[in-house]
Amino acid sequence: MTSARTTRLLGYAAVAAVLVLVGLVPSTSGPYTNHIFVLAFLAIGLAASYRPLLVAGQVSLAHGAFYAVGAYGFAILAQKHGVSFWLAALAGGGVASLASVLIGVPSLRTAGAYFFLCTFAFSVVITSVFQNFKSLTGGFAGISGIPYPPGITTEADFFWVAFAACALTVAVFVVLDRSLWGLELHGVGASPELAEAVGVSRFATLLRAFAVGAFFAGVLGAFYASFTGFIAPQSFDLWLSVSILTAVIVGGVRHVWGGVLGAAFITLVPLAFHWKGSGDAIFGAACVIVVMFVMRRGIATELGALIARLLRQVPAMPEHTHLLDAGDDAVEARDPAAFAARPVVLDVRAIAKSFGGIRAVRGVSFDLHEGETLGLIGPNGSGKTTTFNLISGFARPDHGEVTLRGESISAASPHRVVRHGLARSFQASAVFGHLTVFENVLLAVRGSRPVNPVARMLVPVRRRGAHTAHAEAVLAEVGLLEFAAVQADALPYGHKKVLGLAIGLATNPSVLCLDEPATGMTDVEIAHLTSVLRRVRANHDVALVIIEHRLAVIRELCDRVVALRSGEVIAEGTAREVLESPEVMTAFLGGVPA
Amino acid sequence: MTFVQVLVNGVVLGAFFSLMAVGLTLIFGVLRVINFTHGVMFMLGAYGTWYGTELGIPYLVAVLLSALAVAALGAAIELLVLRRFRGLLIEGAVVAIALAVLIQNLTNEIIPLSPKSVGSPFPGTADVGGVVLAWHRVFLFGMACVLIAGLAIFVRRTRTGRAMRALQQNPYAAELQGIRSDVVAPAVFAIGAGLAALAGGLIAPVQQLLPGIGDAPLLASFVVVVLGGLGSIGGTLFAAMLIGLTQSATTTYWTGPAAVALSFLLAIAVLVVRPKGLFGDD
Amino acid sequence: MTPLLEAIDLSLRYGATTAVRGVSFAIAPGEVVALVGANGAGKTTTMRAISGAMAPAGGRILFKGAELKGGPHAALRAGIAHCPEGRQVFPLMSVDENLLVGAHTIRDRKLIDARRARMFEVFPILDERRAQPAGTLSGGEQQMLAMARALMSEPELLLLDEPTMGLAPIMVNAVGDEIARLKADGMSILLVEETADLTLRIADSMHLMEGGRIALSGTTAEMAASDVMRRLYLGDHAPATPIPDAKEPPSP
Repeated sequence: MTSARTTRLLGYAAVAAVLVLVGLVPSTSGPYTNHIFVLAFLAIGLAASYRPLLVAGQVSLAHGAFYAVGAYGFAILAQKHGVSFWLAALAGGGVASLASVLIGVPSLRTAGAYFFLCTFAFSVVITSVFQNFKSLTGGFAGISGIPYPPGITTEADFFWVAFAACALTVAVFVVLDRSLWGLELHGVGASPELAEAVGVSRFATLLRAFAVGAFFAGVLGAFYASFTGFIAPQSFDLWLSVSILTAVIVGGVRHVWGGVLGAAFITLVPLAFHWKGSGDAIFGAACVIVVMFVMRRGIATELGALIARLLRQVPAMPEHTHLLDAGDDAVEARDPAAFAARPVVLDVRAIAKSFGGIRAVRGVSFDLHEGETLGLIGPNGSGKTTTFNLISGFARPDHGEVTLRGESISAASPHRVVRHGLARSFQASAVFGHLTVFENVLLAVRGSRPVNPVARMLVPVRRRGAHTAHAEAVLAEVGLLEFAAVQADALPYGHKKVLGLAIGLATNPSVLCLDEPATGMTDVEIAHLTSVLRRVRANHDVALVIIEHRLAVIRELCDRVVALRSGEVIAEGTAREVLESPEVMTAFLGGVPA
Repeated sequence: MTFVQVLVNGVVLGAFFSLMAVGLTLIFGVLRVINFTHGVMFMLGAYGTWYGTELGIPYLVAVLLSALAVAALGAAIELLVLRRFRGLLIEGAVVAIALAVLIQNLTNEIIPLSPKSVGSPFPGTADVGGVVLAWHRVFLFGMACVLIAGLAIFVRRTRTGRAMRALQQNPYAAELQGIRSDVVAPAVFAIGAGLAALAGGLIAPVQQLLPGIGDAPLLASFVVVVLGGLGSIGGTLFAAMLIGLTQSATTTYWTGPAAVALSFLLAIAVLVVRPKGLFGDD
Repeated sequence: MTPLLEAIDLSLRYGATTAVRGVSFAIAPGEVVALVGANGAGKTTTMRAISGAMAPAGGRILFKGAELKGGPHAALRAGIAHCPEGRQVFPLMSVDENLLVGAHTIRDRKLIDARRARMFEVFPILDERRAQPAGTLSGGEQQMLAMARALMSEPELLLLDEPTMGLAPIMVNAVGDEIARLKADGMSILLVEETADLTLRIADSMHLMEGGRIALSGTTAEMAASDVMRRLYLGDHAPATPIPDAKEPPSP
């Protein structure tokens, strides 16, 4: 694709140009400018290391505190105990990372506002620690006489040290962004529930982002301490964390270079206007407000989208929007009784769930045999989706047990349920919106399998291999292969639902639960869907549980059917038996139709 | 210092925190906005009161007028700026922070940093059985009680107050009952900003005036609000008292700077057990 | 007789997605009209347009001869109240307060008190639970509360979205009785249902919606005798002409 290559070449050219310009700085400007640039490099590094958590949808105000912890850790070791520069710097990073784990483990399980406050609190508390532990930190007097790195003697030299540190940090985070872990971050940020539903542990992903980010912040803090030679509690305050957050939001979270741009913008733009007093802050704040109004997704994201549009790099939807029907299958003869004889793969016993005064599920039991297709029907509000939530780990039953292949999964979190082999789709067309169709499926393929930590963080996830082949195979099976490069949000509704199905399939489940797969689909789309499901279950021998309102679909696909009403099972048997039973017809129609 | 003195100080501090925090929890509960401008509203209330007294306006009137002006500013901020970021929690927070920085620094530029004083109509102290009570602080306590009671009545008993609670609990259903969030939102902001400004004006006589004086109360308010449960007024009051007493005790028996840190730690400890705060259920 | 409500060639969109197209129907004073159809057919979307929660992209809505414009507050003032799907009570407010919120568009204090008293007469179970937080009520009680809340504005047209959804059979009957009583008192009702049990019981006429359009219309008697019930039940029908970009609206 020439336009992709053009973009890449343009990108490299831009980076090269910037590097050249930056390289000219020490020889063409005075100490003040030099000083500002060093601080800008550190800020850029901080932004790049902070961004992953934001990608995953969490806001922290602790990044500046980790910077401070790293600075103090380094200063104490290097200045007071004579530890070698590089070792002390790494130790500073290590201490910061340790601190992040200590506050992250309790607070990232709930995450959200609670996590936000914990990071806020940490920033405040750590300042207090710096102020009060005089013996360790020197209290308000701080620590002075912190050494430069060995071999560096002037501030001008430090420019290059800071530049190298910044470049290295950015490079590392570019690699991390391209790895599986980077994809997981985007997934968790796009939809935490769906991420869990493909086997990605939200907690583990967030903790990694927090700890890795903290490490780099700590090391950068060490560089800061070395550069200024003197640190005190007043050198670091809450507003530092706030400005890092601002930098990434203003620059745009979507790409790594967004944070770079934002941090550069916030630290360097006031440089252009040498205003006295608060002029810098006023200008900076005003800029942020204007940028947020005009480019709500951040400068880099908006610019990136604009450039992509200009170079026509947005993959066009294929001309025909019909889903490809991969071959004509004869309707296979299927004997429901044969499946009933196979071992039970999913056993649901008397599960119940109430929400406040509403008893949504009041004791539902059924079982599912290997390879079988079970239909779950009932009027709106009869407890079908709640039942799904209870068996897939999204809700915990108040009573009852759910057993998958002999193991209890009633209390398992969703990502563990997926690892055990049960996948589900969602009623609304849940996809990872800003990722491409291919990335959606790839995340499901990779997320549901164990991966060693090194490979997870360092290997580019889109590199061709067994996993990408598997993802392509799944897409081909459901007829979406042509749409692989299209952004999931841009798909028409019917295609999104099929993508939801593909995502579930990609986790290689023994049991696949589909919540209203045919709702809102046209007849043509439904025909495609049923032929896909037939093909899939024949090829993979996967057991299906399908919630559907279109009873024709149920009749066509299901070996057995369970009918719910008001949270209870009112009928069970073959599709014909259930659909023609008087209880079910009354439940649906208020009577038996003439 | 006697134990009773610590208690009294703590209760007065708690009342002050209540006044600050209650507006914040209202804004978050109804509008789902993390209002980082709350601190500068406090500061503007204090400065506005000072300015009014410089013009010869009696103290109490100056406090009121200043609060009204800041309330109007709050409504304007919602209408012109924050409305555009409704639903975008992080982006809204960033813009609010930027606004706060802007306002704080503009104040720094416009108003000289020389010492300012605001006279109180209740100077002096009283000695009640060994406990020292500054009259102004007694007044502050009394006013806080009155204002919060007034707010509670407003929220519980009036049509607008009910509309705010409805909007908080179920925005879709509230819309269907004819409640217009476009009208309610600036009103909520005005109330929140007004209360913060009142807190600023009331504390001005016993406080040195600087553009940054809103930072510490903002911080404390966040702790109180999250501890009490986002959106719960009763919870906020309880938490405010708890934090006030904690800080008073810490300042007396240990050191001043540790007070803030300790209140944070207390908040975290509670949140471990009750992640939604003492009275929250969001 | 002029219809109370007329929907004329209504088109409704969510962003780029067309959820409803070319829908026309009328409700006469005192009539109960039902919109039935599978999930995603556009029934709730149509109802939202009539209560003002959504502005039409095309077509118009006439209520008592005048065009309906503005949000739900305008519709309420005109005399239309919407009882939404899933009850949607205010869970932390008492039953009493929920009713008061229902009267939000009314300023006359005495009128509000009078109507509230009447609601407690009509729904004694709510009187019993007056001070209780609405979230602690059972499903059926919450449904009664949601209806009473809608009735506080004393509408001429009541919009009921899936009023029996998820209720135990006893409550379904009780709610059905209430609605029948409202009809007997002369209320005009637009009813949305996925199944048709309530419709067959009290609706005068019904429209079957599929893919954002009205596929079949008629009096309840005609429709009950026809193919429609089978279609509704089995989703088993001759291919309808697909709307080129018909898509599912996001759920509220």
